[in-house]
Amino acid sequence: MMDCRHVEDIIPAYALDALEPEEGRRVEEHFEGCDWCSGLVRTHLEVAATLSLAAEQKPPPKRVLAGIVKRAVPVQAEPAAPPPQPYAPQRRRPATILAAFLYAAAPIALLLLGGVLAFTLRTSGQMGDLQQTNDVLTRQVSDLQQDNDALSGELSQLMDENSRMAAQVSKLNDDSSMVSEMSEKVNRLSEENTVVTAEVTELVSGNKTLSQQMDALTVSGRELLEFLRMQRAITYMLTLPNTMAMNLEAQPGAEAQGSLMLNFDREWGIFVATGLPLLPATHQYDIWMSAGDREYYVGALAIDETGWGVAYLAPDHAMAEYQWIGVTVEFKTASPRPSRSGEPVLWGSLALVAPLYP
Amino acid sequence: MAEYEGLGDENLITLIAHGDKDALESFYERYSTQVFSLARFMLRNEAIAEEITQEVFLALWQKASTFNPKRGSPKGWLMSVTHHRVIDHVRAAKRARDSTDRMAKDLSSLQPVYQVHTEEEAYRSMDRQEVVKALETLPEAQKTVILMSYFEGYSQSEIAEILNQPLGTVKTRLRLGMQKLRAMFNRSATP
Repeated sequence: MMDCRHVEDIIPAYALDALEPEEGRRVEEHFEGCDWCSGLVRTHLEVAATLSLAAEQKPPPKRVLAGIVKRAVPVQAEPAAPPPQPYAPQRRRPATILAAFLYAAAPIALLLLGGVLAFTLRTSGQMGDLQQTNDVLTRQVSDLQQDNDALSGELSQLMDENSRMAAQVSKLNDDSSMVSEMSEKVNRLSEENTVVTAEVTELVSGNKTLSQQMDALTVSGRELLEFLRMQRAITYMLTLPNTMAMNLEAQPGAEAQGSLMLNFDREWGIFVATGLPLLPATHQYDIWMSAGDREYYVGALAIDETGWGVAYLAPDHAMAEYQWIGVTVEFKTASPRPSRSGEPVLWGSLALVAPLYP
Repeated sequence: MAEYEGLGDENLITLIAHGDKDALESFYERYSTQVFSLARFMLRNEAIAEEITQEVFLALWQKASTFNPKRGSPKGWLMSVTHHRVIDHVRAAKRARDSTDRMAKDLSSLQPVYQVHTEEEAYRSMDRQEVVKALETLPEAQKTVILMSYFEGYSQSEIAEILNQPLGTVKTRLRLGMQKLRAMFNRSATP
């Protein structure tokens, strides 16, 4: 353990941090039990602190304070040290003190009185500072109480909100179950829909085929009705007493034959052809009749696959005005053609008609 | 923050010990320049000086409750902590250096480091000018050992070795130099 005399010698070096570490630790141990040396070191530390002002003074950048405030997390406050007390030398020099007491009792009394007065004033100043500190702490406690009240209110609101959210979550879970069930149903319906769609596609296809067949039957039926109507007209004409008839001529070598039956009383006739060659789909047979110097389109002559065809004739003019009848091959058109383009494959003069029953 | 301006350093330390950040900021406003300047001056490195300034004030924040007024004022305590930390850095750097390089150091280089460079700066820091003036009045030998110990971070033994002087002589020069500075500072502080 160092003694005070040795410590006093090295306190300046201690204040300047010029001691070896081990020596510095021993000095600090001495300070723990020696108010006198603690007072001395306090003075020298002040000198060293002032000495630091010899360095060029420059404030630190603002980020330093920001870093400190950020890192200065609250710490558990330890009991603060008691306020500073005037220190007194620990070392006593009894003879000196006794002599001073004997020779200066009265002045000492005055000094004590002054000391008491000074101590009172100093204490009063410290009391003022402590009162100020107390005011600051009181305000902080009040602020903290207000913060606490506000936080309690917020906590209560948050708990209510939490309850509401929990109820919503529960409802959402129920909804989620319903959604799962609905999803399963949708999947099932989707599978059924796929099957039904395939069946519908098949039915549509079948329907189309049926429609085509029905169209074909309709055409056949229409043709059959026309054939029957022609047969009935021929039969009827054959029963009339004044029916006239004639045969048409064909091109040399052709197998075609044509016959015409007329009834001048009723102004209509029936044309029958057999052995006509089948034509491509782009062509048809047309029937022409001439009156004076003009030729008139009377109608088309449809034939079946055997080359047989019947046409009902009801021309615009009186039958007696026509002199000639013929059949030509023409391109199919949507409207009546104004004149024939080809030579007749069957023809005959109406002057040759003769009564069917002379 | 304005309410703290009238408080003494010891009251601020009490508030800091109770976790008052505003008190810490107020104390920082008072002494951060001195702390940062000392570290910057001794280390010649602003980045490390910033780091040490942060460490010092964070140590103050954490250890304010251990402050013992018998051992010094808050300012003296703060600057002592600062100096300790800077010395730690300086000595760590010294250990990394070649000792022969250290021995060959030109002591005259110490002189400019504390000189006042401009009139403006002198006006701005009258306290500093007084400190420099006080240092200039010391005998050269005493000034040298004080500068080497405080601003360069050398121990008494190292100074004795560098100056090739007996250790006792160095201790005496340190003690006498500090006593004279103390007397001069007290005179300057007296109105």
